[in-house]
Amino acid sequence: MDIARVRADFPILSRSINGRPLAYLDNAATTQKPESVLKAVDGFYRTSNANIHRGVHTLAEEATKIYEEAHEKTAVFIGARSWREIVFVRNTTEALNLAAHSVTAKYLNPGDEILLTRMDHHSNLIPWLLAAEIRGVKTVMAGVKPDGTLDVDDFRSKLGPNVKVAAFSHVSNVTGWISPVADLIRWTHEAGALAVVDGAQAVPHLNVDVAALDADFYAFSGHKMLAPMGIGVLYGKADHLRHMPPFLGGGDMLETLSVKGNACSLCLKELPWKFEAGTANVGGAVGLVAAMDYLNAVGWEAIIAHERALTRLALECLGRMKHVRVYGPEDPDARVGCVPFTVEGFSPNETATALDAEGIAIRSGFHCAQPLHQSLGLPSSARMSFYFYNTQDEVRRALEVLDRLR
Amino acid sequence: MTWWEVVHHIDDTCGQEKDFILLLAQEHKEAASRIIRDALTVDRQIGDIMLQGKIRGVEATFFCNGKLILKGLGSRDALEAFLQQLFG
Repeated sequence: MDIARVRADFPILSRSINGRPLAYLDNAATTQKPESVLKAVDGFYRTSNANIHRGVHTLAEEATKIYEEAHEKTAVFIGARSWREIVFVRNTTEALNLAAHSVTAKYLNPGDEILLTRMDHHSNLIPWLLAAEIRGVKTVMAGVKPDGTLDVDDFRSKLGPNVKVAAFSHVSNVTGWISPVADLIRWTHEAGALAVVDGAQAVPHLNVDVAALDADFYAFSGHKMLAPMGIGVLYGKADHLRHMPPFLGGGDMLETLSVKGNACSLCLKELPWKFEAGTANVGGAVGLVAAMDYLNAVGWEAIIAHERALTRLALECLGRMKHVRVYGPEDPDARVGCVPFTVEGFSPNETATALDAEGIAIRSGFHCAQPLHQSLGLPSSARMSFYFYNTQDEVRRALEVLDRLR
Repeated sequence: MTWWEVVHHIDDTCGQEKDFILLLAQEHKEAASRIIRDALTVDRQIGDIMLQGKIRGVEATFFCNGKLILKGLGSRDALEAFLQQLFG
């Protein structure tokens, strides 16, 4: 991978912050956008913008074609069997809310259980807790090991006969740990339950194949993989989606609505439209396609190798700093480029602000994973997270500042 | 100069600590920085990046880019009272 050429595609990477070149190491929160994505979105609004479906004019037909093709390309990108299994939403959070609401309504009854994990992002906890409360369903929580990775034995032991759904992350947004997701899904199925996977931190960094994984549902966001904010995806097996009630109601999701006296009857559209009520984010879908094209052009082998090299550098150097404690698996190959840490004598917010003063962007706080921080006994943590456009020099700059914090 | 003119933005930090991060307004940054430095009892200095210490008994870290972290104040009311005392 020609890193200089890649970086030239990202206009924001040439910015300065506090008089120093920006080193953007907050990619688990959101990623920067290449010129091709910016141009694609801009081009859509300049030349093809119209509302989709049921418009007979040329622009509406163009926009509809673009939007439907975006479903097809997304299906290919993640290995779905059909584009009808791709539901566009705002982000992973909305995808998981859709899954939690509709799966619970269709498949769960009082007395059933939902298995969650302490490793997970709030986006894959709270929707289930809310849905469980409404439906009178219990939730069960699998624990984590001392390094913050999922205790898979505990997970497996909690897959009891009452568990009807297990919801878990493919990759932790805090430790970057790559879970044995295929095993988790297989065990979930063996227990007779549905597997709902949060793939927000996996799809940007790994070559994900949802059909090979046999996930029932798989959620991810565009903005964490170069696309604009406001476009996300829920993949669901067609057979499940077909039988589930919609999460949102409104325009563009039904064939007919007939009213006789006080009686109303709805006939919902086919997949995926019954889950996509209201005006779609077509510009976002255009950006998502451009982002997927960009990632494919760079190539997964190069992306993974580059990120691993950055992670290895960070882990090796931080491991030598006695005043820094790193969390997550020690093996750099067991995680994507995501490194949480604390610095003795400095709060994570002080650490992140110190780095910001030097033009380096990292994140501090709970990272929307409070149960994991409780398990680790941490009030919060600092987190560096890399993407393929980051350089070893940027990581070294961050490490140099951290070395001075003592 | 009042504190709400001096402070451009207040962020409640994410995490159990519940600290506050203050960003100084550009137009008052120099004068406000002077007040902060005068009031700060410095415990530790990290190069030109930050000064760690106490202001009126409150743990404070002042950064070269005009950000101030205040720890342990507990509530927004306590923060505002503190800023009122510091800047007027």
